[in-house]
Amino acid sequence: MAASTMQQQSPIQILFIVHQPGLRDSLAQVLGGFGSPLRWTSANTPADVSQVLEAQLDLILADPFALDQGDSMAYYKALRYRAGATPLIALLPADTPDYRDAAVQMGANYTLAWSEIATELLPAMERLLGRKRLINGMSKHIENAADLGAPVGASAFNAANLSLAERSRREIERLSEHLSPPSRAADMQPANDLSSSHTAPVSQAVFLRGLALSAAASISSDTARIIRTACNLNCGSHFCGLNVTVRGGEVVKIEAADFPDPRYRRLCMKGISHVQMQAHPDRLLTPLKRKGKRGEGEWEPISWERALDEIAEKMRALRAEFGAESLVFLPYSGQLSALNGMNGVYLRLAAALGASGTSLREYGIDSAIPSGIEDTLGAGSGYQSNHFTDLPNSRLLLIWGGNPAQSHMNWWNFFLEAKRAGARMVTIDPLFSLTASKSDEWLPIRPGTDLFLALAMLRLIIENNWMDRDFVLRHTVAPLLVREDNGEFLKVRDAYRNAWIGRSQNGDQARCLVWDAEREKALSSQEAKSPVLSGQYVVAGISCRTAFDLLCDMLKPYTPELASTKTGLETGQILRLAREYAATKPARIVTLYGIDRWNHGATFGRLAAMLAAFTGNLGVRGGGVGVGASPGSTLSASEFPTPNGRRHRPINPLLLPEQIISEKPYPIKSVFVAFGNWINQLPDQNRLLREALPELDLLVVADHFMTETARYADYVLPAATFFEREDMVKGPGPYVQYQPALVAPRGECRSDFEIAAELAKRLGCGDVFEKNPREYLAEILASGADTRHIALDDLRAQGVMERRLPPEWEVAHRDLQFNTPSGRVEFYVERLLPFGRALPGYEAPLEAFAENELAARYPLVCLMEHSRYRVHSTFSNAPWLRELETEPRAAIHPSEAERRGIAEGDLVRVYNERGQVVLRAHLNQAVPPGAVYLSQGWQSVDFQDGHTQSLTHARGNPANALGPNSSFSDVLVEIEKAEGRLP
Amino acid sequence: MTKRYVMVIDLQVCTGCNTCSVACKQENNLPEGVWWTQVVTLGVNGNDSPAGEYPNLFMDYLPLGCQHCANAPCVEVCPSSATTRTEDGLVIQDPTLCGGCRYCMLVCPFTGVRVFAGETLRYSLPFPTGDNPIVHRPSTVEKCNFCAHRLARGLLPACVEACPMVARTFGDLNDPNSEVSELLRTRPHFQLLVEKGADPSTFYLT
Ligand code: SF4
Ligand code: SF4
Ligand code: SF4
Repeated sequence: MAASTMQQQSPIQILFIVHQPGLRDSLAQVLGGFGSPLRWTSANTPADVSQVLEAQLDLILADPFALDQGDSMAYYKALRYRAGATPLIALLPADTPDYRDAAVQMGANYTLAWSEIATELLPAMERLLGRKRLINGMSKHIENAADLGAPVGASAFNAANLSLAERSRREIERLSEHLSPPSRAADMQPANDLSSSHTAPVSQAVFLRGLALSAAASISSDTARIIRTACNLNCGSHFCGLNVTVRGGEVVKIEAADFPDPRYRRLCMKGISHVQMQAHPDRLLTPLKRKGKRGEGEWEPISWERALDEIAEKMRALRAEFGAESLVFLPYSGQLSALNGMNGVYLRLAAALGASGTSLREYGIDSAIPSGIEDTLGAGSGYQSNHFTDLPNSRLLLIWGGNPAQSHMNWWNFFLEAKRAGARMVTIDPLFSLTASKSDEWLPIRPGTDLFLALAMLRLIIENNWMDRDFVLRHTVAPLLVREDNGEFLKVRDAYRNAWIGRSQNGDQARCLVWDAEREKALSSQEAKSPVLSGQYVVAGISCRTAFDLLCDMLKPYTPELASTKTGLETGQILRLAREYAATKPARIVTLYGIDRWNHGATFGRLAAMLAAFTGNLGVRGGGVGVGASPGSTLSASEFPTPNGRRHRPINPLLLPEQIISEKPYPIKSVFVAFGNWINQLPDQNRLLREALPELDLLVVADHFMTETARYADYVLPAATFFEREDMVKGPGPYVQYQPALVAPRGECRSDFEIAAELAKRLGCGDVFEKNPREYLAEILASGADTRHIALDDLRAQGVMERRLPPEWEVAHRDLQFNTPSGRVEFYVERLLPFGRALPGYEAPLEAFAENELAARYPLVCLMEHSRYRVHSTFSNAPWLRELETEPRAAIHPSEAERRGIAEGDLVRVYNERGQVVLRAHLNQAVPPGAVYLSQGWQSVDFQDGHTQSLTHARGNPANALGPNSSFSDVLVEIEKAEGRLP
Repeated sequence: MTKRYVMVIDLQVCTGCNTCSVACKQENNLPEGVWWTQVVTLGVNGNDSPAGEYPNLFMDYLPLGCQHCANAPCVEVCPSSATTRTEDGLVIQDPTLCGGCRYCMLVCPFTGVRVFAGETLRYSLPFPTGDNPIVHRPSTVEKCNFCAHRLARGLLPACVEACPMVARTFGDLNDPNSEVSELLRTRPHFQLLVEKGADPSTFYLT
C-alpha cells in the first residue's frame, strides 16, 4: 500500500528547525532516500518559522533546543496549534525518557534521538504523512456527518433511516399479508409485553420503567452474579470465554473471560449481543403447530406433550412405510457444544434410529478445498493445518481467497503477532477486503481464476528449480512410476507378478514402484537408494513414466503470461509471488472458504497443498496450508460417541432436495432441522421451496427464533439457548470449557438434549438418553485421549481446562506421514482417474467464467460474503448489530452502477434464470468491476423481495472426496434498478 | 500530581469491528440510535468502503468518541453546568443537568461524539444492561464519560477492555511509567484537529 498512501502531487514541503549544520547535513542525506520528491526550508528564528508557516507545509523537523525562544514548551504548543495537521517530529540531542515526555507534551507527533535518524526517520515520515489523509478524511467526515450510514445521534432518527423496530414491523407486515397481525402477535409472543415497544414508539412511561428497574435492580455488584461460560457459535470457532453478569434473573452484561494463555481472552460485538438475543422479544417460547398452508405463518401454540407425541407418531408411521432412513436429522453448525450442538444429540438419535443425518464430513458446504487437501495430504486431513498460534513463526503469509480479519476476527490477533514478528502478509482476493487493507501487498485477482495463478506458480517453482527437491523426492508421489496403459501407479504386483523382490511380503503387493538409477530397475520406494524424478521406463512390458514428468507435461501450458491474461495480474507480479513464496522459509498459505464456493474448489485445494509440498512447507513450524487451523486431534467439533458404534446414514444436504424430489436412492419423508437455517443457507432456494418441500410429509425445526426455515415447518420447537442448559465446548485451541445453565429457560423452552431424549423415548430408543447430560459430558471427556484426564467436576469448578495434546501439536503433519494410498503427498490421485482428473489441471467454473455464453445476459459474477456482524443468519435480528449494519446491500463497482443508471441506495434487482433478490445498491470501489458482492445469511424478512439463495444453484462437483459442495459464488447475475418493478 | 487520563488508539491494529462501540452500548445501556463511540471508515462512501480507485485503494478505521479535550469548548458554553471537566481530565456530561440546548454540539469540533438523544428513547430490552447507573433522559445531550463509573472502581473503560485487537490503551499521561506514556514516547501519533486548539485527550497511533 505504500505507494498509494502518497497521494502528493507537488513535492513534500519540509521545515527544518535545526541549529547544528552537521545535523542538517545528515538529515538532508537521509531524506535523499525518501520515495517522493521533497523540498526543505530552514528556519533559525521564530520569525523565520512564522514566515514559513504562511505557505503550504507538510512536515516539521525540529530540534526543540535550536531556537532561542525562551519557554520552549509554550512556544511549541503554540506552534503545534498554528501548524494544525502538519506533523512535527522532534529531534533530541540525547535520548532520555524525560526529553521524550517533554517532546510529547509540547505536541511532537514523534520523537527521535539524533542517533536514530538514519533508521527511524523515513518510516515515521511515511506513516505521519499518510496520516494527513486521515485528517482530510476526518474533515470530510465532519462535513458529511449528516449523510453517514452509521447512526450518529439525532440523524439516526430521521425518516430516511427508520429505526429497527419500525423497519422490522414493516417487514413482518409485508411478509404476513395472509394472516391477521393480532393472531401472529398472540402466537409468537405470548405474555411478552415488550413486543408492543418494538412495534410502537416507546412512551415516556416505558422509558421511566427502565429507570425504575434500574433503580430497583440497583446496579451494584452485590445484586449481580458473574458466571463464566463459553460462546459456541460457528463464527470461525473462537469459543470465546464469556463472563456473564446475571441480575434479577436476566443476562445483563457479557465480557471476555480469562484463559491460562491471555491471548485467548477476547470476545466480539456478536458475543456481547447475546445479551439482546437472550431476552429478545421475538424468542420462541412455546411449541407451535402449523395451522394454514406451509409458510403462511399461521400457528397454533401447543403443549410439549402434544407436539412430541404428534411428531413421534408421524415419524413412526413414516418409518413403517418408508424405512427409518427416510427420516433425516439436519443438525447444523449454529451451536457447537458437545451435546446440544452439531455433532451432538440429534446425530445420536439418528444413529439409534438408523435414520439419515449429516455431520461435518458430508456437509455439502465448506468441503471442496478440504476435499482437495484430503486427496493430496491424506484422509482425515482436509480440515487440518497448523494452528493459529503457530502463525507468528511464519515469515510469509499468503492469504488466498479469504478475509480472516473479518471472518476469523478473533484469530486475527495471531496474524498481527506474525506481522509484528516480521512476517510479510500478501493477500490474493478480487475484493479489497479488510484483510487486503491490512496486508503488505494485495493482488487483485479476477474472480474464479485462482487455478491459473496456482498452476503458473507451480510451473515456475519447478521450472526454475526453486523446489525443495529432497522433500519432493522423499515425500511426494513425484518419483512413482505411472503406467501409460491405465494411468495407475505401477505396483509390485504388476511388475513382479510371480516373483519376490527384496524383503517384500504379500501385504506389499500394492506398493508403488520407482525407478532406481543405481540398480537400473523398478524398486519399491523403500528399497530404492537413488530414485529418479524423470524418465520413461518399461517394466515387465509395461511402459511407465514418473508422476513428476506427467505433472511437468500437464503444467506446460500454464505460463505466467497465460496466468496474467486470465487473472488480470501482471506477469511480473506472478513471477515475484512465486519466487517469494519459494524462497521465504517458512511460508504459510492461509486459504479459507472463498475459493471453496466454486466448482474448482477441490482442485484449488490440491494445488495449494502441492505448493506447500513442493516448497517443503509441510510439517514445519510456520508452514502449512489449509482452510482452518486445526492440527490433528484439535478439531473443535467434539464427538458424542454413538452407542454400539452405530452411525447415522450420511446425507449430503446439497443433494438432499434432489433426493426428496427423485426419491433416489431412497425416499426422504421427514426432515428435522436443529441449530440451523436450512432453507436460508442452502442454494437454489426456489427449487427447494417449490419442488422439494411439498414432497416432505414432516418438517420440524428446533430454534430460538422464527427463522426462514421455521416459517415453513409443520412444528416449531422452542429450544433453550446456551445460557439455559448445561454443556461444554472443545476449544478454543487447546482448551475445553464448561457451559453452566446460568439462567432459567425462557417461556417453555427446552434444551435440545431434552427434545432429543423425549423423541427417542417415543420412538423406542429412549435408552440412548437414559443418563443425565452431566453423565454424558463426563463420558465424552473420558472418551477422548486429549480430555481423559479432565474430571467434569474440576471442569465445572474451573470453567476452562487445558487438553493434553502431544508436543508440537500446533504443527499439522509433523510426522510427515500422509494418510494417502501411497503414504506420500499425492498430486497424482488414482481415485480421480475415472473423472479424468488424476492430475490437478485446470478446471473451469460451472457458470462464472468470461467465455460462458450465459455471460451475455448475466455479465456479473455474484460472490457471497460473510458479514462480521452476523454468523450466517444468527444475529440478523440483534438490535445493536442491526444499527451497525442496517440492511442487506448489493455492493458493486461505481462503473457498473453508472452503466446501469444505479445510484447509491437505489433499490436494485439482482437476478438470473433461477431467481431474484431486491435490495439496496452500494457503490464500492473495493469491489472489482464485473462482480456483485452479496452478504449471505440475511433472510426474506430483510430483503425488499426475493432471496439471495434463489440466485444460487445446487450443482456440486461430483469428484470431490467429501462429496459435492455448494458453489455459491460460481454464479452469474445481472443487476438493474428496481424502481417500478417491485411486486 | 493530578492525573491526565488519555485514550491511545492504534490505527494500525484497529479493524473497525465495532466491538468497542457495542461494549459501550452494553455498559452504558444506551438507547437505540445513541452511540458514544463509533468507528468511522476513512474512505469515500460510508462504512467499510475504501478511498481511491480499484485497485489503488486504501482504507483506515478511526474509532471516534468524545476526545475529552483539555481545553474543552463544550465546558465553556454549557449554560446548565451539565458539562464539566474533572481534575483527572475527564469531560463529564450529566444528563440530569442537561437542558437540551445543544450549544455544546455546536461548539464541539468533532461531529457525532455528542449525541442528542431523541424525544422518545427506545430500548430493545425491558431491563438496563451493563453497570453504569446513568439515567438516560429524552431530548438531552449525551456522550462518552470515559467510563468514570468504572474508573472509580479501578476498572478500565469498557471499550478498552472489550477491544479484541487490543487497539485501545487507557491511562495517565502524567505518569511517565504508564503504558500510554510509553506508547506516545515511542510511536508516531496524532491528535485530531489540533488547529482548533481544544487539545484532545485521544491520541491515535499511526
Ligand atoms: S474494538 Fe478495537 S479493533 Fe474493533 S473497532 Fe474498536 S478499537 Fe477498532
Ligand atoms: S470532544 Fe467535544 S464534547 Fe468532547 S470534550 Fe471536546 S469539545 Fe467537548
Ligand atoms: S470510555 Fe466508556 S463511555 Fe467512553 S466510549 Fe469507551 S465504553 Fe463508551
